[in-house]
Amino acid sequence: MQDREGLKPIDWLVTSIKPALSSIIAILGSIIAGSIVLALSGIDPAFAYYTIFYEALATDFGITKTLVEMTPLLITAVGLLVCFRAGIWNIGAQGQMLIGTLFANVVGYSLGPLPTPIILPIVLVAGAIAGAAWALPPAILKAKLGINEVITTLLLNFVAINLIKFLIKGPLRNVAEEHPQTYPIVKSAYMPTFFGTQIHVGILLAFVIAAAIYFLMVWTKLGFQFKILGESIKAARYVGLPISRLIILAFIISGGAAGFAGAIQLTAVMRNVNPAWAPGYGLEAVPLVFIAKMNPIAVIPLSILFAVFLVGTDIMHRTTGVPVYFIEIFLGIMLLLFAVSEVVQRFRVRKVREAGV
Amino acid sequence: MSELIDPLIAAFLVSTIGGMLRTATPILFTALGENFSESSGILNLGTEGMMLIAAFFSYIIALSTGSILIGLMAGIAIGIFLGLLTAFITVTLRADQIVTGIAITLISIGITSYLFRIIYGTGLPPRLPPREAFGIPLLSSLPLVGKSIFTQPILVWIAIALVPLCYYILFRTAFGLRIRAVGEDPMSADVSGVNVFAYRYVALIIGGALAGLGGSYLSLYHLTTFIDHMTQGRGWIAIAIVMFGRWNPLWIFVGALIYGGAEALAGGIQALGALRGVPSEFLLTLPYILTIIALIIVARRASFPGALGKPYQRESR
Repeated sequence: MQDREGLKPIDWLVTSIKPALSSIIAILGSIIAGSIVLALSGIDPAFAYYTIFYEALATDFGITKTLVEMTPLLITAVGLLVCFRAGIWNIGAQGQMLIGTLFANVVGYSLGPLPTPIILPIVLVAGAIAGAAWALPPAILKAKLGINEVITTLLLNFVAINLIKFLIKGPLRNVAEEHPQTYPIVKSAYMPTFFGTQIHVGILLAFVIAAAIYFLMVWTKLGFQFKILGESIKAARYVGLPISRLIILAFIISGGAAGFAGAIQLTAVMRNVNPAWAPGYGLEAVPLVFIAKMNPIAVIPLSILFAVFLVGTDIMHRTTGVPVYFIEIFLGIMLLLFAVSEVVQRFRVRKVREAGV
Repeated sequence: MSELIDPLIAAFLVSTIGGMLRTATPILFTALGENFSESSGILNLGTEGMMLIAAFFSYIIALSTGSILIGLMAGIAIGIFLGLLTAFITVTLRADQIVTGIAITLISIGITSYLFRIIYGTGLPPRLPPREAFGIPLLSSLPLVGKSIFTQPILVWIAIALVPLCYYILFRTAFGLRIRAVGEDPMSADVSGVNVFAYRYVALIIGGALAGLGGSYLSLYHLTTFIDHMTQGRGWIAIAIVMFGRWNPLWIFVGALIYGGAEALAGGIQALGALRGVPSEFLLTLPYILTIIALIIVARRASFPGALGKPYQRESR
């Protein structure tokens, strides 16, 4: 109490909303910076943001699309959250998703027309397994040889991008089609939808997975071990945690989540894969997890917000011609502002503390 | 028969070696620059974005002024600006270096493609006229190898000349010693009167300038045009090459040649049509995989600069 009396009201406010402050600054700041970019390119920012939110939230089509886009984002993000909490920088969710999706695709047409309750889980799990498998090389290189995982996962993204293009144009090509693409999954492997809309069961699965990751991180010993490893590798070593195993496990969880997310997109939306498919979820989930401050609950509303921006900018692009690349500038600025406000806040708190002493 | 085949293989080899030098050049510039940053203790993951922005701006400036040299200068200038920005964020504000690098790259990918659409629409971008090559006196008049290996764009020779220069600066001058001291043990460096912040700023500015040069090479010399995300991970490959080279410019040169060789070989095999019917993307994975294998080979022997990735603050002394 004594400390608090010495503070100005503004400082008190800062300490009260501190946990979310840098996230709020990052989101508001990127909206302002985004307006500047839009205004400089001759687009009315107010109109642009109105369009984004209106198109993504005020029409049935928009809401459906927002929920559908949120699904792979949320699943990929909670997977990455486990890695980031453990201090492991897996930036390779993009590649893990591509490989997972393609493998799920192959499984989805080669098993034959099994009933949905059997084939759909198999296809989804196949995606998760392949995604986890693609995360394994950087995991082992990090755990056993100490090779920087940021570099290996980033490079493996490019390997995955080229590899699936090669496979789709070559060995896995559907020869009945004129343009290169794979064979579609069997009809019984399609993700069920509700009441003839595009809203599918996978959306619920996303929330279930988010809840599972919350449980893992908050209530289990394993989650606690991940956190210790993320706080300090020295502490983890001191208390005798199986560091290599934890690193590999974190990679398997996040790679599996990315592959699973891709398999949901496949069964619910795409049905087969073509070489032009370049999902950004893996990259977009990185700022998302940071802005959520690696909190499994905060990831949920932020996934919805990010999906709103993705859907909104996509529709805005089609109606007004604003390049879709706006979203990358927007998310990049958000991430940068977050990184900066995190440390600037730390200065401020220290100054406040020194003033209080 | 053998007389018929041998010259073909020889020509293929020689042109691959020539291609290797050209494809290694942008990586070499960027890696030599990143080596300064990392030696000073800053892991700059924004090299990919720096190269891409420089590729874009040098291209539009060269196109609008009609001067490659001015384009090149613009590329270096924007690289320096981004180096300064990174220094301010990671050295002065002490923000997380990994997050900052990824954010700068994300912004760069977005802003280049965004501006490109605004300026040129969706049509095919204009091409720059090809660069003329510079032949090394005497060597370039040798039969076969003279044209394919010893006649290259001038920037290729500048990149190679930078290798011993960077080695000399880092390991034989007081300036280089201080850069390394600041990266190894900033507290001791600070105590002995070296301005940690200033040296990290300078190192990041050098890193930015060279990444800018590497990026400009890609658009002005390599492809003579701009394509969305045309760096395709080369900025990150450069970081991998620095690790492979264990922060020694001479080994970084070897690493850049390995990558360049893989890229040139992939291109050469494709041009030869040796794998007819196999989509070209298969070969495009080769340079990335080879880079990772190179990292595995040296992994055990790597000894990182002591303070790499850790922000320095004086109060914590």
